[in-house]
Amino acid sequence: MSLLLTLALLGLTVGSLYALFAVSFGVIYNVTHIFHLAHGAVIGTAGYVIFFLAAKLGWPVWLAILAAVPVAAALGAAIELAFYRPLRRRDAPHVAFFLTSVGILIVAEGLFGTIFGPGVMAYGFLPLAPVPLGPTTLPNANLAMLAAWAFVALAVAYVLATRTGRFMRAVADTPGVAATVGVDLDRTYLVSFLLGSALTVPGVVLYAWTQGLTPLSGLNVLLVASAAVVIGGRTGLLSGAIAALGLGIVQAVALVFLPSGWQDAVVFSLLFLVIALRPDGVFGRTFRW
Amino acid sequence: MTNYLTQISIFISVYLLLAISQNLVLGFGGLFSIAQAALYGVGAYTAALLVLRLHAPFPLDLVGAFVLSCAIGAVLAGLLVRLRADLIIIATLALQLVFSAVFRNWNAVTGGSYGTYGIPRPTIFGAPLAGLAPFAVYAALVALVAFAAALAVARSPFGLAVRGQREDAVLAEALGHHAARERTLMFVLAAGIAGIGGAVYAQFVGYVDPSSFDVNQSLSIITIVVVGGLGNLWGTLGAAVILTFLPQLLLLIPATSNAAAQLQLLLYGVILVAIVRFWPNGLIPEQPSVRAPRRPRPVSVVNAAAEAQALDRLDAVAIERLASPAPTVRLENLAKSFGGVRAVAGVSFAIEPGCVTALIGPNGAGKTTLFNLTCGLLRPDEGRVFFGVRETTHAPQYEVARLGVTRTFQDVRIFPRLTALENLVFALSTAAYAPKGGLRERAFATLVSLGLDDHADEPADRLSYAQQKLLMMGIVFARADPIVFLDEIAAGLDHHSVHAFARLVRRLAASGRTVCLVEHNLGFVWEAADTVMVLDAGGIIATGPPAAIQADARVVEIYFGQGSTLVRP
Amino acid sequence: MSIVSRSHALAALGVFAAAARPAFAQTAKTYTFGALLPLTGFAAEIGQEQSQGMQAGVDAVNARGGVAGWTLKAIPLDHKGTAAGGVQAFNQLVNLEKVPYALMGFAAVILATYPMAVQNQVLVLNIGGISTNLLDKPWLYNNQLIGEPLNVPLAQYAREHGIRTAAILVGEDPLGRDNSAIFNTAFTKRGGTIVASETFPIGATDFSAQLTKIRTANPDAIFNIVAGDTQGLIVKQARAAGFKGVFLGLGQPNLYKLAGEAAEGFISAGLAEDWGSSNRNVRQLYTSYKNKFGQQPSWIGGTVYEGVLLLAKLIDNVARSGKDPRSGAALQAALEASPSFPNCLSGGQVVFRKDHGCTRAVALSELRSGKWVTVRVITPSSS
Repeated sequence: MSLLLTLALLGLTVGSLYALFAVSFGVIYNVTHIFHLAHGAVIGTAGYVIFFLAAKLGWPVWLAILAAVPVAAALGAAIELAFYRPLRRRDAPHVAFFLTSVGILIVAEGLFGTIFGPGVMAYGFLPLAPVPLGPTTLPNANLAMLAAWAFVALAVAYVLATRTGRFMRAVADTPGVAATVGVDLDRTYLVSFLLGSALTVPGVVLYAWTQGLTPLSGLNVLLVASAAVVIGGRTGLLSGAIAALGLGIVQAVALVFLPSGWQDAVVFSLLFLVIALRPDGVFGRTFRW
Repeated sequence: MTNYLTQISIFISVYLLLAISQNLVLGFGGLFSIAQAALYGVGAYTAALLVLRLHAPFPLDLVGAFVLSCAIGAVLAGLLVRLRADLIIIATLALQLVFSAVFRNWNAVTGGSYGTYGIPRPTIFGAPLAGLAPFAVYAALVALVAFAAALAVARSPFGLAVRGQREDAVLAEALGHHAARERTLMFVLAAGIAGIGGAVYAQFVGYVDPSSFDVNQSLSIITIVVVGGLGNLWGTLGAAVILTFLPQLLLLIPATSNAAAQLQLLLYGVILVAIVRFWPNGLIPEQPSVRAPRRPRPVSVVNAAAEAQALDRLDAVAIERLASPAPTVRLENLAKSFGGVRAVAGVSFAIEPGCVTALIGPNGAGKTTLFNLTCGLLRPDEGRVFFGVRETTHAPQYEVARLGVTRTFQDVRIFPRLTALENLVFALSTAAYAPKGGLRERAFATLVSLGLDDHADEPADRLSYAQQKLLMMGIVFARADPIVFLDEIAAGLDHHSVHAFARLVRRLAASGRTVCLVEHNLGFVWEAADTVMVLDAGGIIATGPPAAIQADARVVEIYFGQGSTLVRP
Repeated sequence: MSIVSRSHALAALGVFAAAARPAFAQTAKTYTFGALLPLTGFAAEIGQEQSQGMQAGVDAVNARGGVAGWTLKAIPLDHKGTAAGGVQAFNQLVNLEKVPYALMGFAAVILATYPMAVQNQVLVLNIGGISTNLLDKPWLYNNQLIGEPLNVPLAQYAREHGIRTAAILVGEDPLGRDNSAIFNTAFTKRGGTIVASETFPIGATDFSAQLTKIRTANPDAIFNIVAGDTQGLIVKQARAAGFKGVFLGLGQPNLYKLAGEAAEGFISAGLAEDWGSSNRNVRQLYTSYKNKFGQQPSWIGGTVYEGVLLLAKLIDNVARSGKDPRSGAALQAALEASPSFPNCLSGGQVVFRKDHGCTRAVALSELRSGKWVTVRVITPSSS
């Protein structure tokens, strides 16, 4: 199988994982318009909780994962209630939200490093194994990443089919008008944080299966996820997911032509160009969730 | 001990340069850039390469670093300045990451992860700055020169202009300032200063590698500026000293355990969040760049009587007659659509000097859109706009404003964090028709005539609604433009005030000026206007003097429904 | 990549009060020296072990009554992985604490602080960095092996055991670049072929793309150089990508802990370690480290321990000749006069060369069932 195709296939799997994170970040960003860097803290917390329960306490893996969901959701909600909401009440400028988010992320990294140390915590309870696929081989974890789409679908279904989901779409589009017609903005924001934070759990499991966890993992994931959301266009979940998929493929395939160190430059140049030339994202306003 | 402190002082000088750069771009310019470390790196590598590869003598390395950083800053600014605030954060974050990747991978130029080392100290007047103390003096001098320059810029009309566009770019342009260009200039200047910081760093340490110019560094710099106070350079100076010194003191504690080092990290994050939560303006707030010529009298309690008195002053404000009559504003077949909605459909009329023209119509009729098309905030899809013989169809707001147009916005729109005096000075700096003389003096005189002089040095957002409205009118008086567009000036006014404003508007017209109003308050319109034009669904359905319009059945119908009649009280 | 700035911790206000002590009040015969270590950042685990090795060395010396009447005192400072951090920390060591001797391990930090070391006549020992830039510097000595001594034996061994093709996968830092270049030359010179050469940014944790590329070239072996836990991830992911061959490289401490069975058969070149040796110096390092920290030492802490013992030896020599040992110049002269010291990892001697690199015993070990088994030892006289 040609190198290009193999790498494209790999990129497809990695891109699927990025898509899930893009959706988890996008749910929050699209609705609240806050560049929630502290989402990295939630991702890290979910990952470390699962590690602690499964590797240190010996819980069954599925139970540890399930237990992490309410923890992550609660943390995201807590950040919104304790920090963002008071800032919103005072009409604070974007700077304030961003710096608060960064501060929370730093605190989380410090905590993770203090409790678990700065090294890699491997998910030994999720063994890595090769899966032969005809002429090529893929790690089992990468194949599992395709399952990410199930969660993406869940999120999209929620937003399309439920009443709260409709409110979220309304608020994402025009918060002012939504408020006027009686949508409870605060409650809608809270739901976004709950949903987005809960979605980090399946994502971090798929991520740490291959890469383990370090205090910096949350941030590394977040940068790509947020890049995808901005590139895709901020009005829809699917646009972010598709952009993420594209990024994953481009990043992998780029290795055929460029040394790996330039991958960062490629991804973020792309992000910058999209922002500068098409601030509404590649899909602009045409995607509607 | 002296050597120890001297070396710290060198780092203070470097971080001060970076912090000044950040404050100029963020505090003054309002651009949240997380890319200052990238520009710092550009300066450092440029200076290093100029000396090592081209054997450039001092001060060419410093100058070269400044120039290249400015150039790159100019390119970036071109792409950044028109973006929304939240997108600028992400865009500059992306830029910072790209630059970091380039520093790490462009082995041929930057040495990649090896870095570039062996950079010699600069030789000034034949003597190499080998010792610690001489270099510290040099670094301090460079930092002080940059600080003085930044202070000068902050106090200059350019500094005021940049702060205004930070508050409200649209308003700034309506008052004649090319906001995008001013932002760009500030960004470029800031980039150059960051580059100088990089050059000094490279000259001192003699070794540059990518780890010193990454996102961490950008965030450090932002912390210094946020703690010291955005828009306040002295605060930045203090913060730079404290924040460079403090970690040195921490180093005095032997870091015997890894956990202790991680805890430091944790506390840093807590402090950052706390500062943003409780002191969002930093420890020292912004200072005005121009102050009133005399100290304010103690302000007594504001009551209705005092407010009424202030409004009566409007009658006493001098309105100079124009030497020659103002131009006629002509609109020909103007049309504008938004998506599928046709907001203005083929409107043509002329606004004559010496009389008051009023545009009325129900909500959504297109009145403000028409204003925006005429004054340059929007481009028409079809049609043309003339100010006298000069066509201004595609001219942006600031060009139209400089022709001699003052335009106010719906509701009160002033620069909230600029003082009352600064608001007027800002507006006056581009006024073509204001009488010659000191801007500050004329601005202050206007405030006196409106009874606002005691509030001259207060931020405008601390004035009451009525006072802010007066301030807006103050802009009209001070600029003395021949053409005046007032958008819903009577909104929120009580009975008494409506009469005062109506008299004022008529006096403006009587002075030879071209005056046009958009209004909802019909009582005000009947009192103030000579000609009334009625807009509905993007088109003019009636024109005439107030009496005719009041009697027009079509007008009554669009306001109150079919079969209604206006019952005169 | 690391987004967090560690160079400003504002909590110092409270901590400062607690820490206020006269910085340079020393008892009459305390000998202070310094160390710059990565106590935070991505290499913090390594810094931790280096710090422990240093402590063990100081305790060992002081336990036998110090040296020439001096008690040793170490000042370990955090350089945070950046050149600027290193320079600021070194400023304290040199100008405040006035140390004449310092131990360091990061190439970037060493290069950035070297001019200050020269200016203040501080003798610096590199206890871990690997980069050819660290050779031929008058005030800098290396007890870590740089360049050929580690990579040539590895290439030799590989060829002897039937490995014909190899792929290179290294980090984008001097450690990776220098060693892969030397291995490449050595391997091809002995008839091998390099079929793929990939790199990754320092701090990366996902190598699936590079490994997929390498997999398609189907090499017999993968040559991997990177510092820290990342190596464990690389090995795990390589197996999951379908690689069935041998790993060659510089084995890292947590390799088995992270990669488990996947790392079986890893051939590592490193400073020879022989903890079962009856050599007096090795035994002393082993017991004092084990007793104090409850773990077996490795070369990471071991070279730092050696650095402390080297200092003791130099102080002793200088004191004997009647001079004040608190002078960096005196220490250096003593070192030049007798450029060797005991190898505390495996016995024998460490001998400094003219380029200030060193020769010392190298061992190739194979990971078998979680234990490193020495398969070949190359002592200087037999290399």
